[in-house]
Amino acid sequence: MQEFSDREILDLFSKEDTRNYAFNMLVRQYQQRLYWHIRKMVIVHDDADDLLQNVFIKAYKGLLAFREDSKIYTWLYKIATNECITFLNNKKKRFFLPIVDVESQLSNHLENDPHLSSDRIQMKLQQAILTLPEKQRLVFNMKYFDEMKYEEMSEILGTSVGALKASYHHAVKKIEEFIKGN
Amino acid sequence: MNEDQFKLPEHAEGMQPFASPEGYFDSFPNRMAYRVQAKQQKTQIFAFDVLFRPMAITTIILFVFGTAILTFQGSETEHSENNASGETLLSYVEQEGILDELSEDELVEHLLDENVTSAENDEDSLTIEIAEELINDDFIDFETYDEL
Repeated sequence: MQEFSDREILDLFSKEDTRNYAFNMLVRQYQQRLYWHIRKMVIVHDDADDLLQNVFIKAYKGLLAFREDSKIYTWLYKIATNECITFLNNKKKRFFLPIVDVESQLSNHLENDPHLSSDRIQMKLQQAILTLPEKQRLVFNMKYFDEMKYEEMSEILGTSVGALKASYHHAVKKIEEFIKGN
Repeated sequence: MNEDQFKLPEHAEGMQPFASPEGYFDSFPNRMAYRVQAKQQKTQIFAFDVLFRPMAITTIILFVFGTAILTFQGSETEHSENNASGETLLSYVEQEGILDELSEDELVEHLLDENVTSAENDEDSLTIEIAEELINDDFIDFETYDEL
């Protein structure tokens, strides 16, 4: 698939007759990376699908006012991250569940998920990630799976690079401990 | 891999723990396009609601209010007209000296007589008009034709 630069997308989107085309290109270009990011946070496919749609709806509304302070992908990633955090917080409030119960609920879902890799280590790794606090989980996913730079993560999460490095280091230790202990 | 000596690899190296339903990413852009279109239509309806519904309600209120004012003013005029005719009647009675000369019963009788007389006059004129019409009407001709 042909990759469009941010400028090309923004130029096409600014014209009314090519707006839908530009939006379609934007969706095609970023849907997979955003989906996996969301899916790793909310685990369930249907929830990830809903949130991904919300991300692109918000992008459609905000793209005309996009100031190019960052890359479009970074901006979309930030929207997706906020959507995930809001979704998980609402889930906790809706069911009056403490954080641990939501994570264990997601962990149970993992075991019954037909779309999850059958690799036992992979399953353990996902369960270990679910034991991490929300922010640490985000940091781990962004660094480990999405291979993001700390500077970029800092921009998205609004946290210093030093704090992110420390958070990632703790997350790795906890995951290794979990897998050894289980 | 031995879990007791587990060491997380430094990079995931394309490791993807989840999978999506088949064809999901092929159909997603189209679903998104439909959703955006639906959202736009909804926004247009909302804009109509926000802008035009209050305008319509205001227009209706102004119309009702205006009609009420006009009706109220109209009834006031009618009321003053009724008063004027009452005053005219009184001045007529005074001018004619009817109140001085007649008792209440006689006054009523007098007024009734006047009404009857005018009504009779009206009836007479109507009778004459009908008679004239009959004379000029083809109906007479028809009767004549029938006799023949």
